[in-house]
Amino acid sequence: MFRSRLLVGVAAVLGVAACSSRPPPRLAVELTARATAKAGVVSLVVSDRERARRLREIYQEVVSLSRDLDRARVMARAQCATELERRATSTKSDPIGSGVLGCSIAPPVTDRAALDRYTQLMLESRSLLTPREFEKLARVR
Amino acid sequence: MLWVALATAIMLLSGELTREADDGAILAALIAALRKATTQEVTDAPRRAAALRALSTFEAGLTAYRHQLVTFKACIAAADAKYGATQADYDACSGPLVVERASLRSNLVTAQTEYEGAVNEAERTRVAQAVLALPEARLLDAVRTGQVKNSSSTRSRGIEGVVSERHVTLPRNVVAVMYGPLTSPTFGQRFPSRIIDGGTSYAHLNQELVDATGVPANLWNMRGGASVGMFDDFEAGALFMPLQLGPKFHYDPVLIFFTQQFRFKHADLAIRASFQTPGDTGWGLNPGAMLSLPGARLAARVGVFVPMEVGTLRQKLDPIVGLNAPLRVTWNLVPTLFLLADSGVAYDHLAQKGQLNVPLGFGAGYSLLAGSKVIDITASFNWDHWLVPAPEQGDAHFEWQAYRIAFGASLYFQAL
Repeated sequence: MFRSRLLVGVAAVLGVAACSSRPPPRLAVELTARATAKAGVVSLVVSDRERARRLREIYQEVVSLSRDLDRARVMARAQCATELERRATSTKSDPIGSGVLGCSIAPPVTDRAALDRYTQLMLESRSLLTPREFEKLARVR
Repeated sequence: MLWVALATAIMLLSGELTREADDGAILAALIAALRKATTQEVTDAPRRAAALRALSTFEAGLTAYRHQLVTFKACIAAADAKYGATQADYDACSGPLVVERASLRSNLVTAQTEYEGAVNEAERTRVAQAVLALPEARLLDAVRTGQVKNSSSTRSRGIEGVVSERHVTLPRNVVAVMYGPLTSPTFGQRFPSRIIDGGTSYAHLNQELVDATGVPANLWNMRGGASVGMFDDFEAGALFMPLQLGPKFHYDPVLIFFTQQFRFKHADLAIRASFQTPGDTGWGLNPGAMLSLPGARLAARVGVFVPMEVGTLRQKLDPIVGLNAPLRVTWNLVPTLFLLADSGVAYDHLAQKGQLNVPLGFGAGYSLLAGSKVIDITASFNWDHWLVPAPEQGDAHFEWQAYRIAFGASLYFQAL
């Protein structure tokens, strides 16, 4: 009896999990997922060890850039909120009056340096890959 | 589907999904709470209407921000997937973002002024108190303090391609469908009455071993199963399709295993608990530890296991306890092709004299990337009782006539 209830419980949890929609991940999470998926298998696609090594370095740098992107976004929000709070007439705890809500919804774009570096890395990765190798890696994720 | 559900459930329960998500859902919940509190606290109808209009601007702003992000992410993903993509393709993604964001900011500043004009100080304080009581309000503190929402992950979640570079456990959310020998979970799975590996296998024993172990001289098996990286360094799985094909068909015990890994700079230490569902000798247990040294071309793994077969509650048997210390060296000739050598020492029954064995085995495999999946095609040849250094009777000798051949393939993919 207990075992069947347990099984039903596990099945229900799995069913709910399967049917529930995943919240959209942050940009940094998506970039990391794409880069790590490729980093693991790049050696199986690119037989030249030197090119494979550099490509792996590129994908690993994308992972650390993703962290920079997250940090830049959070710092932009914090800076925006601090500036508005300084000028605010209402109490600091007021989410609207302090400007914190507005800064959370639309932080200024300050992550251009990380995005530019990301573009450079992606363009360099193409210079190291043949079209066929690129297609194979693109299918990974 | 099962794997996606399992991975999602684990991510959901461990809070990882929330850590990885953008803040859109939390902000939407906060605005909804602000709307509710404003409706309750602002009693004057014209002022309430003006405040709610301002909140609608915030809602529209959030929708626009989320739309910007989706469009931006899709644009970057499209550029990433195009071989001929240039700087211009990436610039086209980020170019509109600055202008759109500035316009959105200006709208929100106007909405903020409108809201402040509509709601007096006392009402604002009460609204703030109602909203800040919500757990979602922690986000606002994080915004003020500039706290970065890091994923708790410390390990790459991609499939590990080159065999010699693989860790003991699978990365999180990576699933292995095992139907081949030489996989990590079957390393050291030598029980007193049977040696377990994946794939199709044929084992031949000489008459002396047949008499000693009671195992048929010619044994065909087919074993398959799956394992999943449940957390960064924790894997669980089972060989749930354990068939004996000959000389007589029957289901063998199911092997279940859990492995926890501790990663260091150049080595992995892992502990594994395995058990077998009851067979002829009851429950089988095989706790042990492994040390693995992964490398670009060469990898080594050594383990110490204490396999035992302990009977069942109904069928009581004297426990058969052994000791097994396997050793495996893997050499990747090229990233896709690898050779293995297996050896070590095994004492299958500690209570009996002369049970010490030195096994010897060889294996080879080919790893290939098929779409988003990695497939290892593997084969192995083992003398499981190759050297008997101190038999109960007679001198040390080699057992060339008792061997095992196995072959098959294992598939690795990311569930999420």
